[in-house]
Parts: sequence; C-alpha cells; structure tokens
Amino acid sequence: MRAFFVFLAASLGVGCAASYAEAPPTTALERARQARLQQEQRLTAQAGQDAAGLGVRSGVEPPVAQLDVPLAEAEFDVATTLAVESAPSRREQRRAARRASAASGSAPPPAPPPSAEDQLAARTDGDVRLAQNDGSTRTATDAVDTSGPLLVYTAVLGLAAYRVQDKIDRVEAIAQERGGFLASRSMERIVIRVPAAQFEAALGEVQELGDVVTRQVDVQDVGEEFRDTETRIRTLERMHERLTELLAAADEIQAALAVEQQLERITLQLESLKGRLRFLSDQVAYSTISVRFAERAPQTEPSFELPFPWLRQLGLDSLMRL
Amino acid sequence: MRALLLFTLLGACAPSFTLPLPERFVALEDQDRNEPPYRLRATTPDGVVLSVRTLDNDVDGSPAFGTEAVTRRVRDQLGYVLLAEEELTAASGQPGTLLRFGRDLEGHGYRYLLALFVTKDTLYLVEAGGRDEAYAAQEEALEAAIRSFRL
Repeated sequence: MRAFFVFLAASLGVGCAASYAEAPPTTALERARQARLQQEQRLTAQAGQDAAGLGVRSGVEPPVAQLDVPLAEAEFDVATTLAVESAPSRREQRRAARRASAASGSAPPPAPPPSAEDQLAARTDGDVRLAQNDGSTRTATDAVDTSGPLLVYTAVLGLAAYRVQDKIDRVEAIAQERGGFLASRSMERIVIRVPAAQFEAALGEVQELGDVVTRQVDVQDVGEEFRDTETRIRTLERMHERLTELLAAADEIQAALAVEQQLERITLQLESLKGRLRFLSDQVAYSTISVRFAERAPQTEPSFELPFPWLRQLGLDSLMRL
Repeated sequence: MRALLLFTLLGACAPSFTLPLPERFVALEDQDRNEPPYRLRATTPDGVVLSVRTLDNDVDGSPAFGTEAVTRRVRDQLGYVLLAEEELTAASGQPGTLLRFGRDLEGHGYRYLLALFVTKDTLYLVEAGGRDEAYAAQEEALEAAIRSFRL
C-alpha cells in the first residue's frame, strides 16, 4: 500500500515523495508538522485580513503547538479538510462572523466597505449574468451552451476637455442608468462597466459628451479559453476526488503526505482556474468603457497651415482682448 | 432684446450688414486695430463679447471649405472642444453654419460660438464668447441676434 502511494505521488510529479519514503519517522513527523503549518499559513493568507479585522478566526485548525491529538490523526483531518473544501472566501468569513455575533448576542462589528475585489466577487459568485449577442442573458453557473463566441467588449475614448468634472459625473450616471457600475475614477479619467447588451448605447452616450479625439474599440472572443478552462476544471475535480479517496484509505504518514501535497497543488490550481472563469464571465457580462478627458496637446510639429491670416485670429484670446 | 440695429460701413467697398445688439451689450469703438479688423465688437459688463468680421472671399472658397478650415483651426490647433455644428439661415436668407465650442482654461469653462456665412465675395464671421456662467445668461439672446443677422 505504501509503495502504491509513493508510486502515485511520484507519477503525479511530487519529487520529494521518494525522500519522504526514505526519511526516518521522526524527520517525517517534523516535515509533516512543517507541511501542515505551511498549509495553515496559506489558508490564512488566502482568507485575507478581513476576518482578522472582524475578530474571527479564519477557519483553520489551532496552531500545531496547541494540538493535543496524535499528529497522524491531525494530519488526516487537515488533509481531509483540504480535500473537500477550499479556503473560505471573505464573504463566507463575514457570514461566519455575523453568525458568531448573533449567537453570542453581541452587536456585529461594523462591516468594512466592500473592496473592489468584493464587488467583483459579488457580481461573479454564483450568478454571473452572461450577455448574449442577441441581448438575452444567462448565468455562468447554469448548464449553458458555451459553444458560441463569448465576446468581451472594451472601448478606450479620449475626449477633449470642457467642464471635465461635470462630464465625468455624467459618465458615471450613464453607467448606473444602464445597469452598470463605476470601476475607477480620477480627476480626468473614468472607467465604467456596463452590461454587454448596453455597451453600444452607453458608448454612444459617452461620445456625445465631448469631442472625440481618440477612439479604440476592441472585441475579443474568449469562448475558447472559457471552454478550455471549464474542461481543465472538470478534469482537476475528478483528480481531486480520486486523491481524496486515496487519502482516506492511506494508513501511513508518508503516503498520506504525498497524496496531500498533490491535493494541495490541485486545490490551488482549481481555485486559480475557477477565478479565471469568474473573471472571464465578468468580462463577458460587463463591457468596459474607459474615458480620458484631456486638453489637446498643442501642436508642436510642423503642420499644414492654410494661407489665410485671419484663421490665426480666431478664438477667445483675440475675441476677448478688448 | 433691444432693437438696436447697428449699421457698419468701413469705406465704400466694405460689405454692409445689420445685427440687432442684445440687451446689456455695448458696442465698442476703434476696433480696427486687429487684422483683420472687427467690424463690430460689443461686450457685456461681465465679459461676454460679440463680434463681426468680414473678409474677402478671394479664393472663392465654398461654405464647406470655410467651415472645415475654421473647425480645424479652432478644434485641432487651438484645442477647443467642438460641442455642436448646426446649419442656420440668416435673417436675409443666406445659409450659414453655427459652430459651438467649449474650453476649460485655468479651472474655468468658456464658451465660444462662431457663425460663418459665405457669399460669393465675402466671408462673414460672427463670434461670441465668454465664461460659462456669464455666457449662459446671454446665450439665448446671442443666438437670436445671430439668427437676425442680415448681410
């Protein structure tokens, strides 16, 4: 059985599995502690700082020093936990904090304002609306036909400046009126996201706000990447299930560690791929319009000049110099 | 709008025109220092200025040519924002073009209005401009005056 696990780990690319197999039991235990500590650190880091700010634990087991259960049993628990769930998301941690507060009868601490990441997650977790080319929508979590093109629309506009702050306010309002949202804003630049079905209309409205100096519109089909990512996720999930079963049957620390490392690697890959899928879904569902307001740079290079001196007398400088 | 008609004549061959001067505007004298000279320049106390210049159409340029030349100069070289371009007709029947520009200068918004009428011999430039707030108070009267322009 042990040889089987070692062989399995080696076949999955774990180079250190062999050294674990050869190491004396005490070294293996130390490494087991170390591996477990690293897992805890990763989980804690992945959980973010919000949970800590709310005064709740990140959902991991107590530190190794406080363990009073046999290490082999503890390792098995951690590995099993890793196998069946990924690190809790920030929202899950907030919910847990609220539940904990409600259970203790104390008032919940004030929730911090949602970060941009959280806002994005709120739009992508579980109910991503994918705008289709025909204007209809569907959700990313549905069993939908993704065989067609999945288009990501992006526009970058440069508008000449006139009452810039008013115009930036208006761009933000356009995003909200069309079911979108503000992505970022500065003194002279604003980025909005609008539902893909509203992209063209919103772009037209934004262009009406000023004098278009530069305009770039890109359309990218991410259908192939989307489908490829879905396939990889399914494959890794099957592999994850098999390793979980093997881990449950493991009766030696070295073998369990080898499988566990593979599980950890696959879990991280799965999270990464799922994140990518959420990102793609979001990009398809919401188009991006970036607008920069700026004065035209004075022409410094030699330029064509019509031989009419009166043209050079146009403008407010001449008109208002009384 | 005050029904004050300004008749301008500069020399025997200068084209004549009439423009009803809006209320609060005062016509300024000695406006021929510029080249080409202003045939009329008037201002409000808060700095909204209205002016008329006439130029020889010695290259027989079409109205479209003149409009594009003006637009390119003001928009592309002076950096103004072209807010709108409209067709308009003078009270005397000649077709023209109305160009609306805007610009931010040192934190303030400014408006610049330019009407262009092109005849076989003459190019008429009617300009108006000022800071946003002051201009907005005069905008309606200014446009009415320009639409009452007779050449």
